[in-house]
Amino acid sequence: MIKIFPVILILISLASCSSGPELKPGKGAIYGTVTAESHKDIIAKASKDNDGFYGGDGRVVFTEQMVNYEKLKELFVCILDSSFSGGNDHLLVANNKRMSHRSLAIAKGDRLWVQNNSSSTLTFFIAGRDDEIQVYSPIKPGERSMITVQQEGELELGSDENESLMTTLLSRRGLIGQQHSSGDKYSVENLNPGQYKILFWFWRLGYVEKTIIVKAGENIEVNQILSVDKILQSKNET
Amino acid sequence: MFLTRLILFSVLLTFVLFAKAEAHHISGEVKVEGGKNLKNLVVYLVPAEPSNILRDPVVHKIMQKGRRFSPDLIVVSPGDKVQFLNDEDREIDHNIYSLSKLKNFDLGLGEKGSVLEVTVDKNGSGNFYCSVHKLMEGRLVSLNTRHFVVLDKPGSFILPNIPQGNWILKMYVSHRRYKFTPINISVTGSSHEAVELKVVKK
Repeated sequence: MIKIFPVILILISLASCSSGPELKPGKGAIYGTVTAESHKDIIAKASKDNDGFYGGDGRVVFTEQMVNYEKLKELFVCILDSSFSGGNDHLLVANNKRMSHRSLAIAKGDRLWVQNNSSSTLTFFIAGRDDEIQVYSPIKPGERSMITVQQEGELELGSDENESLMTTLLSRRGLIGQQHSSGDKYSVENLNPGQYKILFWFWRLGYVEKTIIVKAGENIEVNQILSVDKILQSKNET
Repeated sequence: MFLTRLILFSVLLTFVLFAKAEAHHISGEVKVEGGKNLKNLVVYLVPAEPSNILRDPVVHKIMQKGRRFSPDLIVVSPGDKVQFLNDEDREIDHNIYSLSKLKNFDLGLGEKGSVLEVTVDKNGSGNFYCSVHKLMEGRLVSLNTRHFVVLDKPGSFILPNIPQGNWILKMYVSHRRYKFTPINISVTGSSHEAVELKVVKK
């Protein structure tokens, strides 16, 4: 009996881990794992080949020039909540060489702050593919400025003075995003019952969009792998 | 027989000379507000009246040596094919893809020596990447015209062999901070020279 007790305890804890976050009365949640991985053909070749950038253990050996999918840190899991009209704050920091983020998911109506930690005054802008643009007032070194984002789509935050300062923005109405690293678990909790859209986005690959119906008292598990082939497959299915 | 050939040659020569006399060029200079040294500018002409001229498809080639696309900007027309040649010196694999509004494609595994092809079927622009290598990024611009010139920096341009007619002079500017307002241009009896194209901030 004494020996069985720890086993039962482990089984209970494992079961609670896999069933998602704790639910509040009348609410639901979405949870899962978000992962990025190489194209299926690259993975298939790695499993057979020991040469070049393929390791002997059937895995891709990532070099400095390669996109290291196992270590990507800017995977975004986003819920589109039609009742959310924006207003969250985000901070991007610029130094002389780069921005703190290569990509960021935001809602239309969110406030986007830029902190200038470079040694010169910088003028930032947010632009889409059409003529619409928002321009920050020039930011002196050590200072910051804010713009409420009014555009939607895949936008670019750039600087007039330094082309290497660039962040790709995904802006959608009602978007509430979480940033994760590849392989992370995520959860979106305290959701009112209803239909939601969930996006999984990596700036270089684009996004996968799924429609989820959340019910009170239910956790829904949605795992997503981001790779070229899986995203293309998802686009072809919709 | 000789006489027939002579007549045919004369007709052909007349046609060539006439065509040459009727074709003009448009030349000038692209200037950017603030003197910014913008890359990847495409100056092009489209007919003022919408037309459905069918063009013979062209095959364009993009090389990949040194884990770089060369060229990294390519201008095509709908119906054209783009071939991606893996000309790496050693065994380096690529996977070329685009998930853009212009064209979604995934060319799969591109091993050394491979030639993989995609057909562009509409107008627009979009990026393509190699999913393996992080600096491999290129841009595909599909235009409904063969009258274009790609400039790697602002400066002089020339559009040769422009038939008579009414045209719209446009520019593709990849930098999102800047824009260009199209110009109507009528090609009649002579060439247009010293046309100034101003790229301004949005």
